[in-house]
Amino acid sequence: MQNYDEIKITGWTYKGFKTPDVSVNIEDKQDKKTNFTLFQMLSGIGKTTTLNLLRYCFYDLNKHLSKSEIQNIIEELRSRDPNIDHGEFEVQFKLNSTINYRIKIIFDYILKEINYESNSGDSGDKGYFPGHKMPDTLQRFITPEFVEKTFFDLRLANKLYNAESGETDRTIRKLCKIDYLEEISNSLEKYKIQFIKKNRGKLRDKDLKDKEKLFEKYKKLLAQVEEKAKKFKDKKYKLSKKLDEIKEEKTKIENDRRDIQNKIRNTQKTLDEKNENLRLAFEEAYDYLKNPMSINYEILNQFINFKEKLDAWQIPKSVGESFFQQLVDGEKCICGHEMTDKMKKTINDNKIFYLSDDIANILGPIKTAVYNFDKKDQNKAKNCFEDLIKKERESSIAQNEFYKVTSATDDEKYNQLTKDEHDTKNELKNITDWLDETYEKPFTPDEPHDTESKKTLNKRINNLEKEIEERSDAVELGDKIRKLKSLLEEVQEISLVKISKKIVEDVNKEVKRVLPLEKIYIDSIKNRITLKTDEGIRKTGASGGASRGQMARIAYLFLITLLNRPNLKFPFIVDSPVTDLDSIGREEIARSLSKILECQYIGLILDEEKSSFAETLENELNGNINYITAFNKDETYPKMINLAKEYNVDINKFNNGVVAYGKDFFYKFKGSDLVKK
Amino acid sequence: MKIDNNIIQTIKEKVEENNQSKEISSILIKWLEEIDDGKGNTDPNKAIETLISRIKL
Repeated sequence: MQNYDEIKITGWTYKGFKTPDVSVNIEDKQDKKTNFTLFQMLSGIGKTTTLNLLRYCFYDLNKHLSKSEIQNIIEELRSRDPNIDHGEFEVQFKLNSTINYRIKIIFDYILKEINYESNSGDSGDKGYFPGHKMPDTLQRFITPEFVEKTFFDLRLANKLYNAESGETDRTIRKLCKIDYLEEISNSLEKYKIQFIKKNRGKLRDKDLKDKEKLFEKYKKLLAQVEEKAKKFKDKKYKLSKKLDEIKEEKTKIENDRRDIQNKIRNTQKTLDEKNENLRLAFEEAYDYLKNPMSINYEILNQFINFKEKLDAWQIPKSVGESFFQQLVDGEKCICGHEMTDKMKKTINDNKIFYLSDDIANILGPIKTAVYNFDKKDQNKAKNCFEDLIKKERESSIAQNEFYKVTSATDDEKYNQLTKDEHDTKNELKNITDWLDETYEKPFTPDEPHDTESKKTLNKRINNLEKEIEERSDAVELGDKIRKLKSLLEEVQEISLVKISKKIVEDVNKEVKRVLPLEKIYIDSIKNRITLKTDEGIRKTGASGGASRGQMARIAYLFLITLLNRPNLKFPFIVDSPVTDLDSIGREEIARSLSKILECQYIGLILDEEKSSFAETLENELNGNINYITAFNKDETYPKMINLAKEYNVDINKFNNGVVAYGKDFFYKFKGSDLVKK
Repeated sequence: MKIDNNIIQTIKEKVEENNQSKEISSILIKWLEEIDDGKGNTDPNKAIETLISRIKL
């Protein structure tokens, strides 16, 4: 008989969320030691929504979150279709391979409420019972902290490296049940209060009763303040992370801008050069235009002919005048014809073209130009005009490039980021101020009654406690209970150190296998994970020199090691299981998972995460993997539907989504190929 | 369900270190195991009374 409890998820159904409305079935392979499922979705389809909905099914949100926190969750997960007024998500799971459970979480988008319905195996088909009901033996262990770790978003692994969040200690205390000792301490405290109440009755001390009331009031206030501090610390971590992301994005834009500025400078320079070249080309072409002989052979020939005729006439100006005078005075023309009055008039009218100084000045250079004209110039002119067209095109290209570069500055996004940065900084400052200046404020006697100073409240509680004990004859009892509580506290601290040490040893044993090329070990997990190299050089997270990939791999090992400790085999679900990991890391993580995990594993993966990861798992597990792919039935991407048809997937089973089972389809499903229209 | 051995060992060690009765560690360990089982058989008041009667200041 197995000495552990095991939960295996056998499927889930979505309706009215951001995800497609589909049902997913996970084959329960009871005969196999491990049960691995890879659930593939494209980015933005609902991987993280799935992780969160699964989480929320395993504990009652209404018991752990405020109304506004619940409303935020509803807004985050609700369908994008405003006509849908509610969402339902149901998870089905088996306890110890026999009892079937179903938990349904219902999101009311109108009333902004979340309700639960449950169905346990023994109720069969009698329907659902209102409320959240987990198997009795597990109810108390499946806390939000537990579920957040076992259903993990690897992208948030950084939190394990943050000192302030104290995430590692908190996780170990919860998962290794160290916090049970706290429960015993609380029982001891309650016993004392009951004892004092009983004695007060005997003493009929009204003042004592008032002191007790005040004592209870301060204790309640302290609990509220501590809860507020816990939430603020979480928020501080999230805001710091958000601020880092904003800064990173702004720096990227600034760098892009710097690049853009350089590009603008360069393209401006190029544009100026090209424009100058174009201007020179125009000038050159104009010069050719001024000499028509260079443009056209016909014109050139006419000019040559003209010059030759002028040359043939050879009429020097000095003698021209008398020549024409003699001609008109003679009885016959030089051609032998009788000189008529009409001919004389024509000669007198036209001689001006040959004899005036102005004409001679014009004809002279033309003759010279015609004489000196090199026929090769015609080829040069042709080249010049071709060059002009080329220069014009180059100038146009440079102009377009300049426009493109100058219009690429992302000012709107940058301004929004600056605004977000400002708001986040303010919010962070308010939280930090409260934590540092109010919550951690040293004891001050004249603090108001509703102080939020932890030290002042503790001091008042201690003083009142002693006073009440004295007045109710419970001094010895109080001392003994304090002694027991102090012993329990010591046990908690020492156990935490011992368990942490063991976890560090176990994780470091795996490191050699998982990080073969860049050995990095856990140095400590006190409050947060700190890393060290082979040579003992400490690396405190990303800022301390460890890469994101290294941090992710170590975080994975930490969680797997931690989750393997309790004798509870609870599903290990990881969103983006190999994000930030290179191929070596992916392969080694896959090997570790297949060898270490004894519980159910569900990886919510993007199509691009298959590479190196899925194949390695396939090899290590001899194909013992459930492959599931889910996608929206989007008519704008017909290739997805066609691929599903090709693999005989029932595409009509659900209205707006498709779920495909099997290895072949899983590997064939590649977003970049399928979203092309 | 099992309580981590480190916790059980630490309880025993601390009780012994403080020169307290072994009965104290037995009661605490039994109590932890019952919390873990979710049975709640232990009557907290009875367990506490025994603890108080055995603990030495």
